[in-house]
Amino acid sequence: MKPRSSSSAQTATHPQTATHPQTANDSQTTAHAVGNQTVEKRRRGLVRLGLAWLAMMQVMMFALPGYLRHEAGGQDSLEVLDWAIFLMNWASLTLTIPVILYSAWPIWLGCARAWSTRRITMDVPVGISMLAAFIPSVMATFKGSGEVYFDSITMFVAFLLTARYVEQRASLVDAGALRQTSVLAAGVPSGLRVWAPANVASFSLPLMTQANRVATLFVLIQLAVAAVIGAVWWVIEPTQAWPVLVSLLVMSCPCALSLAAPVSLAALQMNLALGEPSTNEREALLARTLRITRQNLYGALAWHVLTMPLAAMGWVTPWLAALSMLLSSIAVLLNAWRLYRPRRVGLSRAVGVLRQKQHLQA
Amino acid sequence: MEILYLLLPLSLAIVALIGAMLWWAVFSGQYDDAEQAGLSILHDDDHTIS
Repeated sequence: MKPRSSSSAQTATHPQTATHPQTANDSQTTAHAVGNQTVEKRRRGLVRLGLAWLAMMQVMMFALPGYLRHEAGGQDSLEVLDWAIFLMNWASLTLTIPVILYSAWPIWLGCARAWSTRRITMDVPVGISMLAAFIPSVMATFKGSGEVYFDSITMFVAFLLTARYVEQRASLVDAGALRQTSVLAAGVPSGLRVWAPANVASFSLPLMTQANRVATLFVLIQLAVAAVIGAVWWVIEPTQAWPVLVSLLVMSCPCALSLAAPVSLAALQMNLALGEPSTNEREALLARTLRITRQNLYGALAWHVLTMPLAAMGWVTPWLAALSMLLSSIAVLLNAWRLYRPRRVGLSRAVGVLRQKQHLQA
Repeated sequence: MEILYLLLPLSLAIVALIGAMLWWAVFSGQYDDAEQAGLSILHDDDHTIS
């Protein structure tokens, strides 16, 4: 609030000319600070996300006849249904192609990066499971018989991008909060200025490394497990092998795991930047962050360990696996949200603006 | 059921249209700052001419 009140001191001398442009200035400076590139990146992320959701909802409608087929009655209705399914599959394919090519583009880039650096990342199992679901679906569409997973693919991409978008936003807020700290520090005599950048980095780096290591190990184990279980199903019941493999691969996506550390740290920095915690409060906040990050990390891991056997038994359909992935990510986000107190921040901002108005009127 | 030949392309066209609208809305900056518009009433210049 400090920079605002200092500029309001200026505006008080020329109220007519300065009050209005000030709002514009305010948003302009933030826009400049965030940078055009980041804005562009965020917009592109949002469009990718929105299009994936749009396609997902439509493809889910197209997928309905396919689910009804198991309960179809006589031969006549089955024929009509199969014809409808054939058409719907083509429509679904039309919508899934842009999702795979445009919405999922960051995932393919991530796979290429993982390939060139020889380091396994979250994008690898995601890419593999997308292909594992997409290629047989395309073949089934051309052939006119067999299972298609277009709904699972679009759901998977939409949910994954949602989790990533939130993560990306959190880290942007993060960066914004840090910048605001330095702006605030100019006028606020708190220890924050000296403390914030250096200590948060030294606090968050080991936590991030730990989280990354857990996630990498996890991905490797899950890929191996999925391959083994798929092979076992192939021997016992070949028709079920592919859906089980797709479900396992979808579930192997460590989205919740990869969210665990970044969102907690973003919430922490937001708190540090906008509130002005005393040393004790700060220590308590760090301890809570550590605890919540661990909860997120191990909670997500436990969720995977619990749901994997169900998928291995063939009880989890691919779309259910995608839903499970979204739910665990949301749980992680909500848990981290406990650290962050948006209400207080929003209020203090509003109060700051009100004070400034009163100051102007006085 | 021949109506599907009309309805399916129609639904694809509508999805494409909505997608294009979303594209336009995002890239014209409609979602860039969701907060400022709400706060703008507080920034209002309500000085009376004295």
